[in-house]
Formats: sequence, C-alpha cells, structure tokens
Amino acid sequence: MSISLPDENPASRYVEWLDRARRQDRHAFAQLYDATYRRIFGYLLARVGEQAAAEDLLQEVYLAALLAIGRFRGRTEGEFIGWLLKIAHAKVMDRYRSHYRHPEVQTSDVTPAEVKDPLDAIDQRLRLGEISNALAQLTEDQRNVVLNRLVLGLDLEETSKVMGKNVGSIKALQHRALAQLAKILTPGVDDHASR
Amino acid sequence: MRHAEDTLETYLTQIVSGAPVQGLGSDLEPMVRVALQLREVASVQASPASVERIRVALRRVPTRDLPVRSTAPRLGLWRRPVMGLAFAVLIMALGTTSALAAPSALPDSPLYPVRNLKETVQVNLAGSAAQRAMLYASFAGERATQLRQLAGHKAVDSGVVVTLLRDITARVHQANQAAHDDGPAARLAVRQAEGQIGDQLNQIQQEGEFAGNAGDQLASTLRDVQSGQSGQSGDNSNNDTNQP
Repeated sequence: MSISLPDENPASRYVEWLDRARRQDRHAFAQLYDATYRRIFGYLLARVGEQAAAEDLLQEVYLAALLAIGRFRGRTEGEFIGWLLKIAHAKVMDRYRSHYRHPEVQTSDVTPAEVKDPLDAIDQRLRLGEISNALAQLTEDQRNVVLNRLVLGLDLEETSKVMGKNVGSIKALQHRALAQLAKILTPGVDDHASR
Repeated sequence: MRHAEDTLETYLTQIVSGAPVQGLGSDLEPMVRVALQLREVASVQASPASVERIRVALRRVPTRDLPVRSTAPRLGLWRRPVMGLAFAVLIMALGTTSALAAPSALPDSPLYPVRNLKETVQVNLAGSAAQRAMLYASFAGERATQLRQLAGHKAVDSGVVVTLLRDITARVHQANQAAHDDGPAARLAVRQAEGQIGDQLNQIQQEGEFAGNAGDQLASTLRDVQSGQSGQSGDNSNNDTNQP
C-alpha cells in the first residue's frame, strides 16, 4: 500500500535512497534517517512518555532498520515510514516487556531540547508521562488512530488507507479515542462518546 | 453523534494544519484540548546530541554486519509452486530409488539403514504374529544368501560379515518370538526357515572362507540358529506336543 505523507519528499529521491541503502550505501541511509527521524521520534515519545527513553528507542529502531534494509521492498516514503513504525512498535513492546520483568526507577534527568526552564521541563515530562499512560489504556485501533492523526499528521483519507478502514469508521474511532483520553486526562469529564 | 464526529474532524483538521481552533463547542472542548496536547507531543524534538549520536552509531555498524540485497533474480509468485513441485518430484524420485536399491544393500552401504527401516515398516504393517514371524525369517534368509555370495569373494570386509551375521541372529530370535506368540504352525514354518539358514551357514563354515572375528561370529550365529531350530530360542517348543 502506498500513501503520501505530509511534506513528502519527491518520490524519486526515496526510490534512489532506498535502492542505494539496500546496497550498503551509508550516506543514502543517513539521508533516509534525516528525512524520517522526527516522525518516528514523535511516535516513540507518545508511546513511552520519556524523552531519554524515546531517544534510546529511536537509535534502536534505526539500527534495526539499517540491518534489515536489504529485506525491505517498499519504494515510497509512506511505505518506509510504515515499516519504521512497525519496528518502533516492536521496540516499544520489547521495552514494556523488559520493564515488566525488570522494573527500574526512572533516574533520567535529561531536559527536553526545546524546554529551557527546568520547571517547564518537569511539567512537560509529567505531561508526557500522563499522555503515554493514557494512550496505553486505549485499544490498539484507538491508539493508532490518534497517533496517525495527531502525531504523524496524516489526514482522514491517509489514516483510512494506513489502517484499512473506511473514513466513517476512522471518524467514529477517533471520536471514541479522544473521548476516552479526555476522560482519563481531564478530571471531571464524562465519557463523551456515550452521548 | 454523526454531527459530533464531523465537528470533531473539522477541529482536528485545523489542529493538524496548525490553524487556530475556532468555534469550539463545549461538549467537544475536553477532546479538542487532548488533541492539542497530543499535537504538542509531535512538536517535541529529539535533542541534537542524540540525533548526532544516532548518526554516528549508524556509521559505526561494521559493513560485514549489513546484509546485501541479493542480486539473484527473485522467483516470481507463479514459479514458486512449480519449483516446489519439482523439488517434491526430486525427493520422491530419490526416495523411490533408495527404496528399490535398499533390499540388497550391505552393511557398508549408506542404504543399509534404509533396508532396516523398510523391514521395520513391513513388520509393523503385518496383520498377525505369524506374518511377522515369517517376515523376520525371510529377512534373515536374505542375509544368509548374501553372505554365501560374499564368501566367494576374497576381499570381503570382516565388519560387513559380522554385521550381517549379528542381524541374522537378531532376526531369527525375533522370528522365534513372534512364532511363539502365534502358535504351532508358525513355529513349524520358522523352524523350516531356520533349517535353510543353518544349512547355508554350515556350508560357509565348512568352506572356511571367514577367519578371525568373522569366523567367530559365524560359529556363534550358527549355534543360535541351530538352537532355535531345535526349539531352544525364543519359544518353548520342547513342550509342544504337535511338533513333528
């Protein structure tokens, strides 16, 4: 399935980068990394809720992608991002499983790059943690729909193609997902989906 | 409900495009606020240091660890079943050839295990103890005949002879056990087969073709066969009043 993404690079550049990367061209893979890491990082951050953990996972995702690029058959940016997201999802699940088996105290003091004030950084870290915890309470479809729409920035039709559902279903799904998130994240808010 | 979904979609489109959200309805306000928070997550960037660290790590992966896409032409989807069928035919042909060649295989042949396996299958498929007894006796007889033919050759590996003789002993013993489970008629038939095997082994011994280990094993096997024939191996035919 081929989809176009917002701000998509010209398709011919992706075809060339991917072909060269499959032939072990590090420069081509570096260009793929530069073109895609922001979206993958946003996805990881929303899933794990910690800047440092998301950055570590980002490295794991691209190292895994570099080692497996020879087997990737896609030719477009949408296909490449979709493939990276699958790897990212697997890495997130590995992390959850690892934390379940070996729980550890979070000692990271990394300050998010865009936040200068330490208090703002703490506030943002807490907020990210709340968001990722709330996302973890959604169904997989609900979580994917809000990540596709709001973190990756796909529109309704693109989300419909990626998730293999019709536009009406996506609208209903995102309504239910956001209602559920509002209920979790905003004290005193009832379930709007039931109205 | 449908109206609420459409209205929410309008707000989401505004949020994703970066436009200010306008005309916010009170029912949807908490959902839109959550959507704005999620959109903010997308604006958080990885630190430049970590972005560079990953770039360096990607450069440092040894080239030998990177799989190269094969330059060999990939099989088209329609070719895969054809190749699978060809492979299956090849395996069947090899299997059939092995099965056909196996009955005469000697212990130094790679097909000897196939011969043993084939015999085991035949025995397991036999419908009665009498049939099993006759199968074991015939397998022992085939080996005795082969041994006689081998005795005419000067350069016979003594290991081959010893293995054949041990297998004869084992099959004669199994034949007697199966015959004992069945009854007097089966015991009689096995004894007759043992008589023929014993005659062949006797002749080989008299010709004195085998010496050393092979000669010792021949004497031992001959004793076992003759003791079976006289009713001392695997059954209690001394108590059998119907024996001739």
